Amino acid sequence: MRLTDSRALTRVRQFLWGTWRQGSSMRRQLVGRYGYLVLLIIIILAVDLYPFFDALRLSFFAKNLMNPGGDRFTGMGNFVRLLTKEPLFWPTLWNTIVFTIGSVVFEYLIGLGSALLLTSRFIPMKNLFKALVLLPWAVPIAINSLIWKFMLAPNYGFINQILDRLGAHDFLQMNWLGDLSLVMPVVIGVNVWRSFPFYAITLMAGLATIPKELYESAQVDGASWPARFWHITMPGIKNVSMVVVVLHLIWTFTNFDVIYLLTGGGPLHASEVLPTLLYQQAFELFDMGYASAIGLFILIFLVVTVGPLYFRANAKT
Amino acid sequence: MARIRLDHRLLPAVNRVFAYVLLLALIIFVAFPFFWVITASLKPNRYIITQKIYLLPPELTFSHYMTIFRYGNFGRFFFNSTVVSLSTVALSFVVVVPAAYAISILRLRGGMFFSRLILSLQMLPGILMIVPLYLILKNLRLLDTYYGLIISYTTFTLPFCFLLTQAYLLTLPLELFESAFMDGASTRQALMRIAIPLSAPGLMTASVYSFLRAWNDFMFANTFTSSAHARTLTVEVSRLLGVWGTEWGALTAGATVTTLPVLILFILAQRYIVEGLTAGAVKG
Repeated sequence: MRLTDSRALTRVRQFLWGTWRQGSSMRRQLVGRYGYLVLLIIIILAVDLYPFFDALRLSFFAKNLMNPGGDRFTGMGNFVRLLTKEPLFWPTLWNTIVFTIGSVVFEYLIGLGSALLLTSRFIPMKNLFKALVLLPWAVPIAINSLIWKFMLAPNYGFINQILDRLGAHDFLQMNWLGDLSLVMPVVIGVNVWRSFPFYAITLMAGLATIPKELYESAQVDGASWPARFWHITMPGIKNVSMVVVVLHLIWTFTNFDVIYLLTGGGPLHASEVLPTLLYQQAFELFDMGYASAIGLFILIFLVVTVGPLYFRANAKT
Repeated sequence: MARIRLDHRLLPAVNRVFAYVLLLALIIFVAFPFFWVITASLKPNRYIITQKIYLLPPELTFSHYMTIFRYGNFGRFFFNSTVVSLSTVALSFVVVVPAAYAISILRLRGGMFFSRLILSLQMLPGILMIVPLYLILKNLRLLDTYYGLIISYTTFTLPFCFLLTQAYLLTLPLELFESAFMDGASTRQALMRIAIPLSAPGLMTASVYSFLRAWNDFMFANTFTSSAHARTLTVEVSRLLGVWGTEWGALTAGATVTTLPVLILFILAQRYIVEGLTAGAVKG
């Protein structure tokens, strides 16, 4: 303990002494070099750190824009209200978790399947198909959600018409986004459609880094393809997979656009997630303090659950 | 014996057919919704809201496009989206490039800490930032302005542009800069003449990304704009969703117009998009 302390102290002393001794021209140059950072530091302070600390501050205040002048400090009041008095809290948290895990699992499976297919030696014009597959991901989420709202519309929507033709069952009236038990799977499906291309493209890049010789020697040794998959392919794309999954756990947990535009959290809050709950509190009820507390809860939940994975994934690669 | 030999010869062919079938399924899965929306935007209303499936428009019409541009003021929203997205790109570029250069090439003390800070900032969800940003923009009277949107977009473009640019600069050989400094180049000259030209592909990727993120945003634009003054395309298209009934012709036309620039950018800059995506995930 003491050893490291004294070592750190010595290092600090050496650094200070060293900088001082190097004279004024060196010091001026140092300041000049830090000048390159000034603009970024100012803007990051203004648009990232200040709003963040403002959200932190707001979460301890009762602040409603409909009641100007009524701001007051409530301590943990907003958090207590969220965790104990909010009837929507547990269902919403559960929906958010289901939405996130469900999306990520299916995105990974379809993404990996597409990556394996598109890297297989049978497929010609790989770049064309790669670009095509990436399309749903590159288009605005808002537009994707509206496209699917159109596809899923009752009566004249394409999905219902096709199902109606294929099956004996009467599917025309089916209201996918208005059904209490179907709405979550459908919303997850749309989100999977939008996000799986990211997995496909990055996993393809991961697959390309696996040396071909590994497969050749495995084949010589007579390894079956499931064995090759488990012992060569999966270890080879482990790190990329980790990064993609962690990023998407964060992005999906905080995703607002998909559900807001498809269902608005309905019917009867059946697809309500924390981001849409926050949005209603902030911009329909103007309860800014409470909304900030929800936002902070989202952040703390993420930091505790996937935070360590996030930094480990970034450190590894 | 004969059967085994036959299998050996047949297996690749079977696999090939199997791969083609899967590929076809994948393409339909990915592309059909776009095809359906684009063709719908070209159909007269009676072929859109119908219980028959018309894969191709039996009759072509551009009336939905005429409607949204003439009565829906879509020219204005297109202009808004373009100005805001391009300004976001320009601002991110000017702010990020010198900083990434100073940290990764000039190896400033504290650079590691700074990179790590920015990495954590990337984890800040937009949904948490939306309340304080709204209040700040409200106090500065920047709601419903281009400036308000550009400022709020930099909250997410700056961190990832910085990380992307830094990752690219770190791949450049450091000796190049060392010899330039030996020859008496100033740090500014090294930035302008070596770092920027050599990292052009990386900067291109960062720019394309910033543009896409700004163009595609819905949440901030939906919250921070309230009139045609600064409202962007994504928000305007979503407003075509009616409470009682939706004009699907106009909506699909609007969706197509909003998607078109993304498609064009995609065709022109596909390489950078794919590269950026994999750089972000593979290199962190």
